[in-house]
Amino acid sequence: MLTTDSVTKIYNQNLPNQVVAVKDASINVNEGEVVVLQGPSGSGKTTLLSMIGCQTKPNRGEVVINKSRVSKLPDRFLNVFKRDNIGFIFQNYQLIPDLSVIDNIMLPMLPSGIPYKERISRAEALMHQFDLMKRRTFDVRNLSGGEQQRVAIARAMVNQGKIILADEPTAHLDTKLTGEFLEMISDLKKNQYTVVISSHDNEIINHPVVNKVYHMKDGKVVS
Amino acid sequence: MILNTWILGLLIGQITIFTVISFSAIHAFRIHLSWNYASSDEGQYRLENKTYLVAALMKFVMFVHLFLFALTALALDEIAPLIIGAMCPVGVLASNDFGFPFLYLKIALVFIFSTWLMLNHIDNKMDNYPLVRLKYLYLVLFYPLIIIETVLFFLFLLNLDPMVITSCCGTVFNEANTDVTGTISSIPNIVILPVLFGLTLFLLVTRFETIKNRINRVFGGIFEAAIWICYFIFSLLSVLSFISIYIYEMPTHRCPFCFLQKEYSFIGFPLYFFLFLATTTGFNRGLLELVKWEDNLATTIETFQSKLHKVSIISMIGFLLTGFLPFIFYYFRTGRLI
Repeated sequence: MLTTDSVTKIYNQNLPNQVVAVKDASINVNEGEVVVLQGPSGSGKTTLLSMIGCQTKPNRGEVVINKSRVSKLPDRFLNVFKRDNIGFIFQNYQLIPDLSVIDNIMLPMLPSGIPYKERISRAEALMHQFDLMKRRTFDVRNLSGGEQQRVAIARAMVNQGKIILADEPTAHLDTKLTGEFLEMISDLKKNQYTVVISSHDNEIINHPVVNKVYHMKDGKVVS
Repeated sequence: MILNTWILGLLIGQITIFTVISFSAIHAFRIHLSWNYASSDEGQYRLENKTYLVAALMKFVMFVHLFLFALTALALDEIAPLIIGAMCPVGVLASNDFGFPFLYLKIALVFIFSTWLMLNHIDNKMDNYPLVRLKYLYLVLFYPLIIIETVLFFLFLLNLDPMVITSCCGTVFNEANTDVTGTISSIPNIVILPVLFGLTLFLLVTRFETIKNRINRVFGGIFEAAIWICYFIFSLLSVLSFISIYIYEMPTHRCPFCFLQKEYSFIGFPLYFFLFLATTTGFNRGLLELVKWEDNLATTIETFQSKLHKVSIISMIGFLLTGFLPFIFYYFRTGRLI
C-alpha cells in the first residue's frame, strides 16, 4: 500500500547549513493499518511524513503509494495524486478561522472542480458523521478545541482519499481530547483508511488501534 | 558600429539569449547523457529538478527571441536614416553581407524553438518524461545555430558603416536586380498566387490522415511539415510580390518591413503573427508524428495535434484576411488593379 525505500532528505545540500533530515528511511504500511512514526523533536518524523504526503521529494530513495512511484512523478501529476489519495491533519489543524465549518471542510474540493451540490453533499455527510451539523455555519475560530479537531479530520477525508497523514495531532490536546481523537482514528481504521501519524505522545503509541510503531532518531528509522 | 539605444537594446537581448541558451545547453547535455528515469539516486533527482529550470529558461528565450524579432525591425528602421541610401530596415540589412543571413537564421530559429517548446509541452503532459532525452539532445544540436546567430549579429552591427552607400527596398526587391531578392521579386503573381491558394485549399481540405494511414505515418508527418514550410515560403513571396503593393498602394514598393510602421496601421504585426502562428503550429503538427513511440504518448500527441490543426487553420485564415483585405478595399475603392 505505502512504502518508503531508503529515502533520504537533505535540506540546503552542499551549503554550510546543510541538514540531513531523513537518512535511508524504509517503512512499510499495509492497507487499513494505523502506523505511528515516533521520535523526539528533530528526529525527522515530519520530513518523512512530508515525503509520504508528496509535499516534498526525497534526494534519493523512493516513495511508492498504491504501486505509484510518487517520488518520481512530475509536480503537476503529484498535485493531482495528492489531492485524490491523501488527506492531511496538521499539528495546529491549519483551519481558516474566518470561514465557517462547512466552508473549511469544502475547501480541499475546490481545485478538483467538483460541482457545488456534490461538495455540499459530501461536507454534510461528514458533518453528520462527526456531529458538527449544529455548528455548520459557525466560524471555526468560535469552536472548541475538540470541535476544531473534528473539522480538521473531516476536511482530511472530504476528497475521499484512503490515506490520512497526521502530524503531531495531539501535541496541544489534553487527555480527554486525545482519547476522542483516537476513537475517531479507530473509526477510520474500521472503514479501511490507512493512517500514518507522527507523534511522540505515549498515549497514541501505546493505544491498541496502532498496528506498528517506527522509532526514529537523528533522521534514521532505528526500529 | 552605430551605437544608439535601439542597438543597445538589441545587444542586451542577444547577449541574454546567448547566455541563457549556453547555460541551458550545458545542463541539456548533462541531462541527455545521465538521464535514467528508473533510478532513484541523488543524481537522477537533481536532473529531474533541472528539467524544470531548463524548460522555464527555454520559454523565456522563445519570448525574448520573438520580442527581439519585432525590436530588430523597429531598430533597423530607426537607424535607416544614418545609412546612406537606406530608407527602411531592408536597406540597413543590405548594407553589409551579414544582414540577410542574420535575418534568415532568425526566422529559422523561430521554427526550431517552436519545435522544442512543442516537445516540451508533450513531455510535460506525460508522467514518465518520455521525451526528455530527445528534447535535450535537440537543444544541444541547435545550440551551434545560436552561436552562429550571435556571431552574425555582431558582425552585422560591427560592419554597419554610415559611409557605405546601400540600396533602398525599392531597388533590393526590384525585378531588374540580379540578386536573390531581385530574382524572387521577378516571379510573377500568376505563379505565386495560384500556388499559395492551391496550398491553402490543400491544407484546408486534408488533415494528412489518409497519407499517414495509407503510406506511412512518419512520411506523412514529414510531408505535412514540408507543405507548411512551402506555405510559409509562398506566403512571404506573396507578401513581397502582391500583398505589400496593395498595402502601400505603390507598384514599386515591396518592402516586407515598412508596413510594420504606424503609417500603415501596424498591419505587419498581425500579418506576421498569423503567418508564424499558422506555419509553426502546422509544421510541428507534422513533425510530432515522428515521436509517437508508445501508445500513451501517441494518444497525448493526437489530442495535441488536433488542437494544433485548429490553431494553424484559423491562423492561416487570419493571415489571408489580413493580407488580402487591403487588395479587396483597393479594388472596390478604385475598380482597378495595381
